[in-house]
Amino acid sequence: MKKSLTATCAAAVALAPLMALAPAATAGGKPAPEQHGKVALHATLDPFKVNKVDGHGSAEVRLQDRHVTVRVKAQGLLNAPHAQHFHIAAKGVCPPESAAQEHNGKLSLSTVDGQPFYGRIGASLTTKGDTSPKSALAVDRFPTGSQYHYKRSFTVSKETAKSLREGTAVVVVHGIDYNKNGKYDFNLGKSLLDPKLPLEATAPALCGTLKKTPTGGISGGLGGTQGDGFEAGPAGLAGAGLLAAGAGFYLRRRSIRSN
Amino acid sequence: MYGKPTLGPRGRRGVLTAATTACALLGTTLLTLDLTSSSEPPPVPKDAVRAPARPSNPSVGERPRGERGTLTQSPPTRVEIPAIGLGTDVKRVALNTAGAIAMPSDADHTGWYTGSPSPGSQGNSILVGHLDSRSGPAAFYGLGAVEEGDRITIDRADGRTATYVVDSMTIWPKDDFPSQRVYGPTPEPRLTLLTCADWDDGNETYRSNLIVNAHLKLVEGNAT
Repeated sequence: MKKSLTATCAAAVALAPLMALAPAATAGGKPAPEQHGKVALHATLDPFKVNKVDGHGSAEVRLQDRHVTVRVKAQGLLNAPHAQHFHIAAKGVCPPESAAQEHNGKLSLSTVDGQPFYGRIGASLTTKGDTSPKSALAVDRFPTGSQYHYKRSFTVSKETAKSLREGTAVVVVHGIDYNKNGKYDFNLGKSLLDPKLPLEATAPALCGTLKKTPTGGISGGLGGTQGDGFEAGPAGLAGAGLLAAGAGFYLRRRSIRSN
Repeated sequence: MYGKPTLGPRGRRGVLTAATTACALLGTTLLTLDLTSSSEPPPVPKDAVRAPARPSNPSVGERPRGERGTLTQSPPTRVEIPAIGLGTDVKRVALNTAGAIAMPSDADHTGWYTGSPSPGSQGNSILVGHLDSRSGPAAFYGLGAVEEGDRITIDRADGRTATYVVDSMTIWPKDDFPSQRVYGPTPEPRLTLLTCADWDDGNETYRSNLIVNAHLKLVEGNAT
């Protein structure tokens, strides 16, 4: 009897939200902290194939107020210094390959080509000293090697913190070897950012948008297949008259529970 | 549970019971046409590890399972696990105000967290699905029956298909959930599926999450 009763009254389900008595919340938890709370973000760094890059990497950022702890892991790069930055305040995406232009007659993507997508520099992920956009090309203060692990804590600008919270901050690791000769050279011409540097040294190699790491588990079930509650299947909803039964069943449960 | 009330306004409950029973009889008549609907609780993964010890350095330093060609980003459209007869459309989902992954509005769909990489590309791709709705089984109802070695195929909007192979099933309690470990980036292309587990009858909610992890086996098809 219990089975058929609960089965028949599955329609109570339909009423539960109307009664504002939904037994299991779909979201749960506290309201999101806004401008100052802790936020964890991460990005998978994908290579720009158009720049002949095969490497990849990941980035993790913890933000509180304007203080960040940044971790970057990269591999498969040229064994050389790699400028790396948070780019901010644009579309918050990595440029598609179609954004590439001809540089010295070769189709490739320069840092400038990508700027409409990932935006201007918000912070320079240097190994020591200044981390502002002023250090964008401080080649002697960036990680060096074909693979590296970077970790540093520092304070970012208000705009950078905002972009991080909005999910529009992009990690870009620079420095490519387009002609695969094992060093930065001028085969793509001069850097548009600093004519003393080859374009290879400043062109983007890896890129990834920093997205918030979800907090906690999911609320992926409402109990419709659990014995005591509600019955499965379309038959459980047969007949509009069952709504009445459902309501009766629900109220009856409540009256018991309120004891 | 409600069969033996010991306290309360019996008169009112009697009326309600009578009304409910009357309606139930009507409903039972209708139900005789369809007695095949499942009332079994969802399958519980027999090999799942419950809250394993945490490594001192989670998800860091794992060696990639060999370098293989991975795809550029393109959203997933459908997920299938042939071994358990599971197949659903995939929709995009973001975070809710509590910072957790929001669930797809239709419980028969699974959700791809848009803050994670597209399946078939490098990194940790995350799909979520309801175990059940209020009225019955939902997209990931059968996920608990999945076994190590089962294949998971994901169709993408670009016409390609990514095939993953199940490595592990883990159940984590929601009140002690290792977010960084489950959602954090991975050096290898990985698929993470989440649904609910451990029904709590008293609170009428699921206490845990079932996490299925899989590694990328191959990618097929030409981009459209």
